[in-house]
Amino acid sequence: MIPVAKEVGSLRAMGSGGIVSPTGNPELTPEKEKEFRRDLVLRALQILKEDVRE
Amino acid sequence: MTEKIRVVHYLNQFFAQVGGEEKTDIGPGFKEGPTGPGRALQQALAEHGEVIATLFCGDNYFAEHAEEATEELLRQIARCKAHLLIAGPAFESGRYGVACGAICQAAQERLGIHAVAGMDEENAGAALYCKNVYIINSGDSVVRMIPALQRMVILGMKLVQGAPLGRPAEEGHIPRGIKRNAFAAKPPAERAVDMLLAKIRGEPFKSEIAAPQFHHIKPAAALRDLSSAVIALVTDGGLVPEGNPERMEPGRPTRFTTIPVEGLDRLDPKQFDIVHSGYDTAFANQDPHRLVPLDIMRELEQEGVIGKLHESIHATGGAHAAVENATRIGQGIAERLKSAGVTGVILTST
Amino acid sequence: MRLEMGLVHISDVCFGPQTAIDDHVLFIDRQETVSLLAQEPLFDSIEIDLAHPGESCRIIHVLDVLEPRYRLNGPNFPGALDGVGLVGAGQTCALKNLCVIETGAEQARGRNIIDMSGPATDYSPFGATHNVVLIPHPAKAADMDEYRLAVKKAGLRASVYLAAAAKEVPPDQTQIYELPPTAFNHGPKDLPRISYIFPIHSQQHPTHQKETVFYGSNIQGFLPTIVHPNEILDGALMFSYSAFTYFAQNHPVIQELYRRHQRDLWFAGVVVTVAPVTIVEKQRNAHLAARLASEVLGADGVIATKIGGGAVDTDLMMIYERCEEMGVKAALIIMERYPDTGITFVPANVNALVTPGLTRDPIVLPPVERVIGGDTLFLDNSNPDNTNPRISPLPANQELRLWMGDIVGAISQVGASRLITYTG
Repeated sequence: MIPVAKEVGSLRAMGSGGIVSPTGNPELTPEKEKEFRRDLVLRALQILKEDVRE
Repeated sequence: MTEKIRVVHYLNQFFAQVGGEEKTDIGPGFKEGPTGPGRALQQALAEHGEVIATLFCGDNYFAEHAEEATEELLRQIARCKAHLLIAGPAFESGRYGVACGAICQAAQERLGIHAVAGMDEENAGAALYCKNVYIINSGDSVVRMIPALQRMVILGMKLVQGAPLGRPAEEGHIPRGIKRNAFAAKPPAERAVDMLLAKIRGEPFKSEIAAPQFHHIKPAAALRDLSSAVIALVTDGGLVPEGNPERMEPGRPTRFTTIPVEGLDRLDPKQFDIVHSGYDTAFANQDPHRLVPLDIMRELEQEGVIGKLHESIHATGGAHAAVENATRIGQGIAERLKSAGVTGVILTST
Repeated sequence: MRLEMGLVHISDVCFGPQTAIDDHVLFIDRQETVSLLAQEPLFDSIEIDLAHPGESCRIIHVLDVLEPRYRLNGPNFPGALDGVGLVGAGQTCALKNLCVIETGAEQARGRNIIDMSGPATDYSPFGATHNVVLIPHPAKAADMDEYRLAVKKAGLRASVYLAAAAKEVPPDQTQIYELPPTAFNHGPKDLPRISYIFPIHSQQHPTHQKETVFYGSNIQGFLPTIVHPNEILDGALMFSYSAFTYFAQNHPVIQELYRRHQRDLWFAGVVVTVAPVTIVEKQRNAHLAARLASEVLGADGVIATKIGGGAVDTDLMMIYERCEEMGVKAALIIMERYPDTGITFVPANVNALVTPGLTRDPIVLPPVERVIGGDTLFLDNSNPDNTNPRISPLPANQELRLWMGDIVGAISQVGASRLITYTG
């Protein structure tokens, strides 16, 4: 729901695995799903290191 | 024959005929029956109500000792067994208007009685209190005292009787920012087509829903070094411990829960539930990491990518959250995290 | 494609020896109807009850509302009830002023109440219709997701069975719905071409594998496509949740566009779409739906509605922006849920919104003598917002303090209501 987040003022937002599994993907095997999740989390942490312009 | 409504009238030191600016520091006081404009109030009430007492307070005193003044005034209002509090009208007097709004809100919330304030719509008290208190727009001139009091009485009686209210323009009160339904002259589909055709023809039209205004938030500065940072996990997807012991709400949340995760490497699906009415929770129930990535965060902590994973997950269920509640919940969580030295948050949202 | 809808106005309904319509009264053979519906293996039993306008009667846990329709050349609800086929052309009889109501205590997502008298009737049309209420009971160990589908199917079966009684009855009125094929669908240049973009489901509550939403399909992975508006009116669509099928059969936007076709607009057709669960998919469907309206239907303007929860406000705003970027003017009908902000979010450039009403507007319903569909409601009368699982069930026949959105038919997301909102 990035558009909502940005509209209410949350500038550090990124896309997730979807409404029913934000940090997962049930269509993947458990191992691949964990890799997917790790990748997502690392990208999120990277955003915390970035400056955002208002 | 319904009993007479017992009314208490709040005035400042001037209108209560205690004194002018020289008496602005006087503390809360009490007079039996109506005083000053209270007599016009009694006339407006006629045989339906009685002004039992006049309460007053110096504008300066209230501004500087709001809590004590409010306590004392509430005590007096309770003693009078009042049904209705009428405060002001304060016209353009800012300190007086703020006091009126404050005492009305307190009386509603703490004594459960109905209250109506009066002041000019530009009064500082109006912006502060119009959401929670009915404030009759008295305008800025004392010349309008009697019409203002009359409006305040009509509205006050409707509140006491539980009668339905008309629109702000009809009742004369400042809009509270609360939406209501009304019967429409044309059905929505017809209005939509009318609006679209006007738009196509370049004719003026008015949207029926205004864009909500959100406060501008200054983003926190970027984290320079993740490897020393304390990162917390927060979610609005409704994670709760098994059995939902705190009875977290599946929708319209009013609070958040704190789930300790110190020493946990993973979220065992048997020890957690998901309570949220706005999405299908089956996948997250099977594997809570699909909602809150504790497993990965713990690995990253062990690998030194982040300094530490915060000891708790803060969670609420974000379906249909009222903006005020969501704001309050967010502030509550933020305060907790800040005082615990957390510098970064990953918030997972559905 | 031409659809002739023959309307038979029903003035009363009662049980009788044979299911038939005599002088505008529908007689229902209760035993035959029950036998027909009780064949469903997932039902332990099923009852049928009647509720008339003006009665002190409350129907609760409403799962769906249908207007009885019978297609003289079949199929009825192809894919969902009858075998695969097409709808939208030919002759269909409709019983007006009568509805089939399905109830399901755990299946209805919400309190879903119809009162046959009192203040609710000011808002909902279903307090003024004669209602045939189905009260099924699940078989032991029935899978409850499949049971819900069985209840919805029973509703289709009952409504087609009852409408068949109108086969030989001359209609009181015939409504013609006719639009030429898109390729030849050109009107006078001075009439703006208006299309309707219609999200029919939100996957935030995914459909069941066996669910029948559009021509019997479970619409998983559904991409935007063009349909003839008659298909929506004539049985191609059964909502999964969030809207009652009656408002597909009597779709307010489709009927309004037909009403004004060739007068002040040219009805340029309908795009159906679905609201998916990821941002990327939402963006894709918005792009595709807008492109179909713009390039294939040649729309000058688009009306779009939404369905589902707050998440779908996003889909709708995307549709709006994609249309406007393509030079197609857009207006949205979007239900309000929050007394403070109305809807979830509105980008600054979205300037044409119509509200069918606010769901969280309080209403008090008086006590009633009779309740159909259950005995208790999950409701905290001192605070209808209270969703705490520890609330004790409340007897449904007493005074209820509810939201407008709890009344079935008061505010439909596809744009049916008698309301507008103001800031008070």
